[in-house]
Amino acid sequence: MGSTSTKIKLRTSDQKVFEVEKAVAVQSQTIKYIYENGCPDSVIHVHSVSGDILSKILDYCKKHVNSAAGKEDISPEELYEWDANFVKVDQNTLFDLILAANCLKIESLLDLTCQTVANMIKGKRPEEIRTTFNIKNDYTIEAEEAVRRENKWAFDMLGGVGTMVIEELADDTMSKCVTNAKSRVCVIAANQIVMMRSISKLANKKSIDVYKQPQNPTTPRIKESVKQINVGTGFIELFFHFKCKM
Amino acid sequence: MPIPPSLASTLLHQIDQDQALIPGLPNDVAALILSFLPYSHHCRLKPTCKPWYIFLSSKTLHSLRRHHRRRSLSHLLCVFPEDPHISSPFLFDPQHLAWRPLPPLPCNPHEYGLCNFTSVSLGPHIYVLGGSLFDTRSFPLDRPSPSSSAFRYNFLTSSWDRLAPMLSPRGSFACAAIPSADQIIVAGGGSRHTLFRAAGSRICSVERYDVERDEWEALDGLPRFRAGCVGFAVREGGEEGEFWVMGGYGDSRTVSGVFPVDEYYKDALVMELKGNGGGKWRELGDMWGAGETPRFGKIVMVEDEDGGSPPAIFMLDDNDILRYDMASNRWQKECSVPRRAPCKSSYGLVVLNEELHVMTIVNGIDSTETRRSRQQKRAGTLFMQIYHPRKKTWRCLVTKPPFRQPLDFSTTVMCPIQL
Repeated sequence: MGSTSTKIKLRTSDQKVFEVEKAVAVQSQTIKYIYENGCPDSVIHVHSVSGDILSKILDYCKKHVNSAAGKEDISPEELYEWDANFVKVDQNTLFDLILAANCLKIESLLDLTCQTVANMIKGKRPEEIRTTFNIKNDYTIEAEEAVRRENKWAFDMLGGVGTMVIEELADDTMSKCVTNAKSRVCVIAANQIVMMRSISKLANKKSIDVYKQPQNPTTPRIKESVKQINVGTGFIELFFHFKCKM
Repeated sequence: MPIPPSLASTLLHQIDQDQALIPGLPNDVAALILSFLPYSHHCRLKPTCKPWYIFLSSKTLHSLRRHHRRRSLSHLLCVFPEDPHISSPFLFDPQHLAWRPLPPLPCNPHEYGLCNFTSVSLGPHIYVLGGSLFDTRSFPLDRPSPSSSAFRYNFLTSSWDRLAPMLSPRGSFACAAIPSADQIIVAGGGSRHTLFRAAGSRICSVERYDVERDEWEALDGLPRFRAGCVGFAVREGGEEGEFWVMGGYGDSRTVSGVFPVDEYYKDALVMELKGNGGGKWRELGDMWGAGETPRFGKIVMVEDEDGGSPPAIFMLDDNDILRYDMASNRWQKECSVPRRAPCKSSYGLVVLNEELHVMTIVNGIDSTETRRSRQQKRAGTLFMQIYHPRKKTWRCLVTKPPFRQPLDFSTTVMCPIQL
């Protein structure tokens, strides 16, 4: 088994040399192309990638190759979590990973990192996006107001309007949720609240009762904590993303 | 609402080609990142900076989402609560529970009361075809007439374009989009209006619309005239192979010599699409046996996005979901809707993202029913029960629609679209 694995040498921009198995290295379409069309024995130069980034990328490739080949016993959910932890890095490293994945043409890594950045953008307001990504605001105040007003989507908020996403509910619990939803803000979440920003002019509600569903579905729901939301200037956006099993 | 022309022209003049969308990343990678964002989030991000505004309103973003990232397309629902000439249709994003109004259709002063039209989506456009309306130029005034007009909504310019009208005017017809050939097929139809529960003409003509050439072409007609039928295009191997028409009503007979009652069709018809030109119609025969009680309800088709297996066809009749078996031409009961609707209202049925959405309005109060003038009109809450055909599980979603009146699902037209 071990004798069939060929090794490929990769040299980075800062002159570090990595030796990896061929199966791991050819996850990158660029390396695969160079290997198949050029120099099978000598070292492949990856000029645009530094040593640290390449070592992270090789970790990623190795994990995915091993899980696909069945060498590691890892379920799809665990792999998904591993990926999620993999991209929990600072923004500069994330951008370096994106650039490297783009240059080395590793599609799954590029998708993963781009989706991460998209998720960072998704919950933020324009002002915060500008600070996070260092974007210059080239609108005048009137122009910005005009753009904000056009084509607005009305997001249905939880506060006061009773919106919930409930999965696989029994009939009697469903009816309880629906009636409760109208009268007060009632959030039932098994996972954490992933993103929370506020738009709640309508509700005037400054607090939410968060109920956490215990593992055993027969025990009643327990009120876990009460979170205060500060009503800031003007509108606050409320996004809830949660799943719930009862 | 389209941007004021002064703002648009100043933006286009000031954009610098070298401006980066996200500093630190090349523009093609930044474009890829922005293409992951769901459609409903594009508008709130436009005020970030002018390059973002230009990119998020551009055609390149739409084509990038369609061709490269098909799985990240947003599945939206376009809801037409009433006559779209008067009241705006709304776009609904079920994943983020967001609503957005679209501009109403261009108004024609002679025509009013449009209903029973069909809305279909082909690519990134919504089409509104036909319908039944009252024309003030007709005589007598109180007879509805079928309409032949066709409109298309362009999301980039936020406006409705009028297309070439159909060869025969019709409402309540079977309609299906053929994405692989960029065509729309319509079959049957009539002039029945929702104000009158009976009467109305029926036709048997079949037409095909070619989007690129903007023209309608007549195909082989149906064997017998029918209206109120449902149509869908069945794919085989990536391409649409057949156009199916099911149900509908044809002749009418009178009960006790007074009341007109429709004769409902129990059969299905199939037309082959491959091999240029319209194919012949093949009759499949009755879907209900001699001793069985036929059931009539809303029929929808759930396509298998990855190809491979044939599409699943479902009917919702009175709290039961039935699945159609193509091999035996029979319906079998699949399951029941978990929570029943209050008796007066009807269900809305639509397929979004390969799941069946069964919709009802809960706690809606129609203002015409109450006598208290101070009673606030309540549109109620939209309660959606969503069935996944493969996993055979139900989940539910509750949202408050932005309409002033509760939706009447027997007349509301809905159209799923992917953007």
